[in-house]
Amino acid sequence: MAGVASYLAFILILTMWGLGWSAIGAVLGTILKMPVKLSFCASLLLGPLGIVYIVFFGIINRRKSSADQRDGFESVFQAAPQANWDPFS
Amino acid sequence: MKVLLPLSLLMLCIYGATMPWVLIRPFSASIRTYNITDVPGGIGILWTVIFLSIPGIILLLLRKPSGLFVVGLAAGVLGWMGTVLGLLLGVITSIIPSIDLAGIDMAKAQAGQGPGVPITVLGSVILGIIVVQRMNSSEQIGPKISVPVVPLVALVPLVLLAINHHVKWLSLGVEGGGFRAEIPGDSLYGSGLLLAGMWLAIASWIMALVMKSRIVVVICGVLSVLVGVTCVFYSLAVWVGGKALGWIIPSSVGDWSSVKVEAALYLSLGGGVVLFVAGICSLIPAISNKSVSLSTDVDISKKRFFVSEVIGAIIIVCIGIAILVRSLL
Repeated sequence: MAGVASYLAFILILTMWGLGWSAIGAVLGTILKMPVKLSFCASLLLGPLGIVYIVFFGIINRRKSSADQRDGFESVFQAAPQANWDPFS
Repeated sequence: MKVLLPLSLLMLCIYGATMPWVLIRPFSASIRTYNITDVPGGIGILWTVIFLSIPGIILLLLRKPSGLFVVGLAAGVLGWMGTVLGLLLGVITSIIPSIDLAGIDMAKAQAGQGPGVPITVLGSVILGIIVVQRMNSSEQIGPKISVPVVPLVALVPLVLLAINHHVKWLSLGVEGGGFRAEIPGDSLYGSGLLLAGMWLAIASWIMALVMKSRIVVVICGVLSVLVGVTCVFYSLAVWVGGKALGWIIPSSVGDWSSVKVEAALYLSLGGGVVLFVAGICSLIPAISNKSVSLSTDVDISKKRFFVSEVIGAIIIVCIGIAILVRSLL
């Protein structure tokens, strides 16, 4: 009985941990205009490191896209991953 | 899609889960080790991970990208458990009342983290990075075909230092009597801060592996120099303290008459020096720009293999040797 309770507690903690980080990652990804699926999966798989990944890439992406707009080019990032990215294909 | 490296990393995570996660060092008794299989429901969790990874492996062998995600998720479950356990252990040991002995907290020396946690966490993080980089298909920030050498060189001593910090550095004992105590690096004052710095540097270097930004490498280099210098000073201070303990303790405490400096202390000193050099090298652009390509192939006895497959095979062979050695001992 203790084993079953402990197992359920483990599963619950892991689910809360995974979903918690995924939710934070998805929100941060949306704010930083990153692909939502990428943000969700990165934070689900990597936890806190995934959040750092999203923030770093989000800032680089925003700086790059603003520089492209200044130069008169359309940002490749804004178009490509949103439209074509499909991890399950 | 190459399958051997993800499979080897999954195997590394599962093997890491069977290695010691928690070490209990009672006075005058041998070390007791505990891993995930020792707790109620732990074997169930391990089997859940294995059952989750089986469809992932099948999809991976069928060259489906979703298989890589499922395998990454299975490894991630163990990685999260390791992270949660590391955090909890840090909190629990911090609330144990301290028993000071020449700057060493003897109470915290009784419980420590085993080598299984960093191995499992690192295996799952590297696999997670591979999965996420495969998803991130942007031309501008997409996956690097070539991997810089300096982060790889810096990560080796950093991981060794992080593992070595939980191994015994000093052995205190009474000659002629069976009473003895083991002092690991994590029982020393300020070791929590140093460990946090090490893990921050490890995470930053992993970021530097996948990002094309010079500023990230510079930040990692500065962090590594700081961690390396601190490790060197820490080891020297403990070594000096260890020698001093031999003169101080018999008169002041009256119990400890022998003090033995263990090999792990010297390993920490050497690792700190290597990390310091790697950190300095990363600040020099000509050295930090050197890279090795993972997607290219290499010649081994007139046959061509991908570098990632060779790395995966090496990891599997190392796991096999470790299992063999453990079963023989």
